Amino acid sequence: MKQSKLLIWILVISVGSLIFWQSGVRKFARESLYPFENAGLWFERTVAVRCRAVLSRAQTASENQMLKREVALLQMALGDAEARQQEVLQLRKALDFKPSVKSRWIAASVLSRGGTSAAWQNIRVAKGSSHGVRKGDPVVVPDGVVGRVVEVSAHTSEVLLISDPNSRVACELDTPVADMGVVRGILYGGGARPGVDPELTLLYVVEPLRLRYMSRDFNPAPRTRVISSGLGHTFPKGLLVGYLLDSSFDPNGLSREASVVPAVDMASLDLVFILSARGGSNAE
Amino acid sequence: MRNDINLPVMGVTILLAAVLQDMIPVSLWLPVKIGFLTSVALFYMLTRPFLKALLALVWAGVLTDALGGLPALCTVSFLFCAYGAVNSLRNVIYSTGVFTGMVLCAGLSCIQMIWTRIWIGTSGTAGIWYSFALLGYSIVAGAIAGVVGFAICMLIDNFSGCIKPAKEKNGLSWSKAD
Repeated sequence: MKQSKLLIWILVISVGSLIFWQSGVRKFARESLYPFENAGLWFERTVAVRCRAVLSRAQTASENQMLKREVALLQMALGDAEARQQEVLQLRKALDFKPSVKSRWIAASVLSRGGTSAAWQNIRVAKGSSHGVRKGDPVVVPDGVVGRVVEVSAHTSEVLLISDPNSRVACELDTPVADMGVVRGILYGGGARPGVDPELTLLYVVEPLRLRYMSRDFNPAPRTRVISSGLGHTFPKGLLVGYLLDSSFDPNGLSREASVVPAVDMASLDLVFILSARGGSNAE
Repeated sequence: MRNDINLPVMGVTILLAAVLQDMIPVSLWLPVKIGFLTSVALFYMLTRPFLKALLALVWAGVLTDALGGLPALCTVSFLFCAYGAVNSLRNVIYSTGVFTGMVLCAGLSCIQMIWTRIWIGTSGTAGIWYSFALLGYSIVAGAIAGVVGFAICMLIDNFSGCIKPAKEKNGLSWSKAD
């Protein structure tokens, strides 16, 4: 009887918290799983990688040689970049110029792709509010834009990918056009194409994104770079988003819309960078 | 008072299922998540009394909704309806083995896919073949989840001592009846 009462209490608390404290439950669930997911990540990066290395020793040796050369090259490039940064800082100091955006990059490992349902195109990364991440922060990799942070807990963040149908990014074409100014548009996530049956091979491959509301007078060439315009106040200006495939008039004929292939391979994301707006050591 | 081990065991098993479901990504060959949480909830529906089964399905549903970005009560309400159906089938189901788990989980996953798509409102956006393909994949994923989930649950139950040996009708255990 006593145990039944306890079970009923736990049940009521579980359902009640789910209904009245939804965001808290989400955060609590993510934080509960974080240690296990982090342990899985650690296992993958230390034990599994070493096991694979033992199994393919010859390949590892050649890869090691190649990586050593790359490290040497990068060290040289880093030295050059540091010298340039010093120069920029000195010039800024001389002109009394302050950067418009104080920000820093936070590297974050991908913990989960799609959560438990895979209903949305999102990833969970292993950095959260305790590391300075805030809702709305942009997420990128060296290839281009990945998405933006939509939910944050203490140690994890949910990132909505630009390929999700709910994603919108203010973009422009990278080609400067004479007497046209800048060609801007809004990039919509792909997802499943409405009313169309994609081939079975396309089930996992990301559908092309749609760049809508562009000027109808300009016919952009395929492979034109699509970059963020900075007008949405989420992504800073000039980040590579994707490449234009083809374009046509929209059904009303009032504007032009184009298919855009994302610059980033969303399926192979492993490490991403969050642009935190809080500022940091490398902000200036 | 003797402590009941069922509740902590249930919590650990559901947490393990959540970690597995969350960490195993979708792939080109299986573009849907493997529903370990549903299979664990199903196992407890079949093997535990009403209140414990209800608690298991609520926890499994809460974790699925919270970690999958689904609206609150989406999966909880589905599992509640599933419990009603499974409960009515209890007299028909011969055993709660891995094969039973595979068949029931495959069916439940298929229905859960439809339920979730309708709940979040993406049912009409995809074409008919796309939807059929997803249903097919969800049946395969459900079957995998059923086999793995039931096997793990039975293993954990055996190790933790949640399963007690059945009493012989004549009062003499088979191990002593030599």
